Amino acid sequence: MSVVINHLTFAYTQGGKPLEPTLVDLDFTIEEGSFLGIIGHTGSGKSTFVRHLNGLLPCEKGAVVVDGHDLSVKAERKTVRSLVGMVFQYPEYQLFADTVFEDVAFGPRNMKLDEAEVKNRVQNAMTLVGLDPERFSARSPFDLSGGERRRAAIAGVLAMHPKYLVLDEPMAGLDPLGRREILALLEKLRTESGCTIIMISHSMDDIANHATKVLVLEKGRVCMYDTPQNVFARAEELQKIGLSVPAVTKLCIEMNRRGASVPASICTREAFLNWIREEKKHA
Amino acid sequence: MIRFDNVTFQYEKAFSPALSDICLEIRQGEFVAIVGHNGSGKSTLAKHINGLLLPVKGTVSVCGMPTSDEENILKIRQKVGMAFQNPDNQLVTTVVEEDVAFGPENLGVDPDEIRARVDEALASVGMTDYATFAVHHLSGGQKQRIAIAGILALKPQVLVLDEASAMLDPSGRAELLETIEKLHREGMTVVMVTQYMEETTGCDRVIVMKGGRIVLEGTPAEVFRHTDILLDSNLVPPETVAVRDALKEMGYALSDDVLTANRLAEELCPLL
Amino acid sequence: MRDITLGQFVAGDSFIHKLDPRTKIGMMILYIVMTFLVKKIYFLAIPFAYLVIELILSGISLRYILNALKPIRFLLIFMFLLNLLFTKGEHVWLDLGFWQLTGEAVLQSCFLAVRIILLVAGASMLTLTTSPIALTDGIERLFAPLKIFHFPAHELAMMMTIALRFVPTLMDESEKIRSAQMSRGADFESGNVFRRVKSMIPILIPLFVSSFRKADELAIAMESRCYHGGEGRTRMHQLKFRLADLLAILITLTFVAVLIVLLVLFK
Repeated sequence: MSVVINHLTFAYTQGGKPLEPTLVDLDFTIEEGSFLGIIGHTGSGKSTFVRHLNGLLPCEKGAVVVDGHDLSVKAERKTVRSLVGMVFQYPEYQLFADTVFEDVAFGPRNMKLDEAEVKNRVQNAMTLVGLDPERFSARSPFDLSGGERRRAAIAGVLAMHPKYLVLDEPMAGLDPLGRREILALLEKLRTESGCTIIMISHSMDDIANHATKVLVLEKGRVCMYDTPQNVFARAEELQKIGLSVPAVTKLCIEMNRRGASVPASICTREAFLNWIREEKKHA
Repeated sequence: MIRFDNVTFQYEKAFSPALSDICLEIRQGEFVAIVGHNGSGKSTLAKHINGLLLPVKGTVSVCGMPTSDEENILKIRQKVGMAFQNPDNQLVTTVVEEDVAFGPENLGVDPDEIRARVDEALASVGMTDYATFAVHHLSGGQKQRIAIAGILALKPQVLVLDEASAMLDPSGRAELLETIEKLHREGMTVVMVTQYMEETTGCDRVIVMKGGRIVLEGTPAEVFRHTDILLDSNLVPPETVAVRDALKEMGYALSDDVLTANRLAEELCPLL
Repeated sequence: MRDITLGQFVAGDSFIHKLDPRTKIGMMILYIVMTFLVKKIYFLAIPFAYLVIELILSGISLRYILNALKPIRFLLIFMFLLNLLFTKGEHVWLDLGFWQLTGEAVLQSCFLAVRIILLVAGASMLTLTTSPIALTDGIERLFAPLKIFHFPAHELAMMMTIALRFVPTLMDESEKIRSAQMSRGADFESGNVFRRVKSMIPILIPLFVSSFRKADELAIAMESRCYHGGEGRTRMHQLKFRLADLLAILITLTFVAVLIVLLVLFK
């Protein structure tokens, strides 16, 4: 199963008149089990695009089909919303309940699950994000630290058992430790539960290290859709549209400028060090 | 210019002090970065510089004036401007130029003089064309530049940035950093609190905080030599520095002041 | 969605637009006095004429005035019917036995309805031609002399300024929170009134929490920028009372004088 984006075009309206389209003819498939990184600068349509994945915005032209459920059919939206979990920017700002337990339980309860199942899911989700249910269940979400609040909010989405998890800059504003924790969580979800991860991020290093596919959006159009190695190999094009590249890619470009011949596909520290080792052997 | 003498601070209801026994001196014209994980005390330290927080023990003084003296506070806040994390929550009025005028208006500056200061401040952050724009139509990076213009209109000598780049996208962050570096070149003393280690490579001095104490201090090259202390403080060195360290472990002789891709390539290529 | 402000300001370059906000507030007060002085429907012709002149000078389309009247249409009909039912009089037009329709009742109902329409239309002329910022400035400076009676003119104006600044920000934020809760299966569209109000809690609480945090951070930022109340504060934009303002006030006063003379003559 997969998410099929079929010639999706979308324009916001102002005062009844459509504005310049924010998304233009997006047409690709997100395979199940992949880790899709979405990059593009502010205003490229990233956030608008992910809002289509669970029907928060209507598909007027084209279609989004999640596991065979077509989102242009209004009745399908509810089903899709339990398949596609959405973690917005600064999700901790959406916490509202008296206790962490109640907040995490909000999604499962909306799915009309029985109380035993709700409890089970809440505890699992909390454990998964590293909030011990014993210690944190009864605490107010507003008393937690910034990183804990973020994880509580993510648990609220995970408790719905999404097959596809969409995250809009989930690490924004966190310190390096908090960032690492979230990335480790996403890797775990993908490898252990087979959850498909779709993540918008500005950190090219994170994308290079974790994504299996990268979508580059520019002015609402698909500019590239490929593996990170192939995307970052086109560093010049990325820089032309105002995007940065991973630190390692930057290093490789500088070295090649000085006469070295580092392959363009190298974009992670690991790959770079392996290449150095190979070079050493041959030398 | 700014002196911390044995400063200790504890928030009400907190179990341990947020700052313990901090001694620090920041000289005129210096560009200092303060780094640390969440809760390391870096923002608490910054808020002491303009008297938003007052030490429980010890003294903080700006140009010889202790912040604990109520009478100094307006003078200190005029000398030490401060920008904060959330670009939305520090702009007061709807129109850009009115917001920039807010500070000098508070000081009772003459209207013509305010006009001149506002124009100068907006030019200095490169936002002259946006003078009559509505604040909420601007991007995050532009809002932060307006916040800085609002501070410049007070004619400060020190600019303190309390994680001012944390909520910006990379282009907004670059915009802001460029503005700050320009102001520093023009003589401004800058204290920048940040979590992004890669932003500190151009600073004169980096101060690493952990648990309310200064654990490491020095030039960026000196600080990035101690990867162990950084990791122990829950900080991650810039990726380029991590690559450099890995290469050093493999036996490549690279110098400590290699902090950028450009310099690393320069030293590495001849060794291959 | 993002541009909703308090009142509806239509930017323009007319004689009325360029007047000092204090003048416009004064004009509106005098206009309200006029409509209240009148006790007979035909004398409402004077404030009506004044309103028409103001409308023409401002270049504001009549559509905006009608829009402003839309929200009160039910109130108007209700008031009209109420007066028709309960006003007693001598000139009986229609007798149903238990109730009589009198000429006085018709006249009185029309009079009250027209007066309310004139009042709302006049007040909306102020907000249509004056930007919220200018209005705030005008209020602050007009009421500044009342400070000796401890009237918080500056604080009120500062509150209005901040409210205007944060309305779009909070609108954005509520939209984001709404999307997030909808993604977690929240349903804001079905159920009875009680259920719908209850379903708003997951939006309202985060919005409140966020507003408090904003207020807190803003207060710190304002303090850092040397804010210490209205005492000794100056403003970059000085309001200037020009010849046009004098003219506008004089014309308005003339209308008031004419009205008073007419009222005395035809008592």
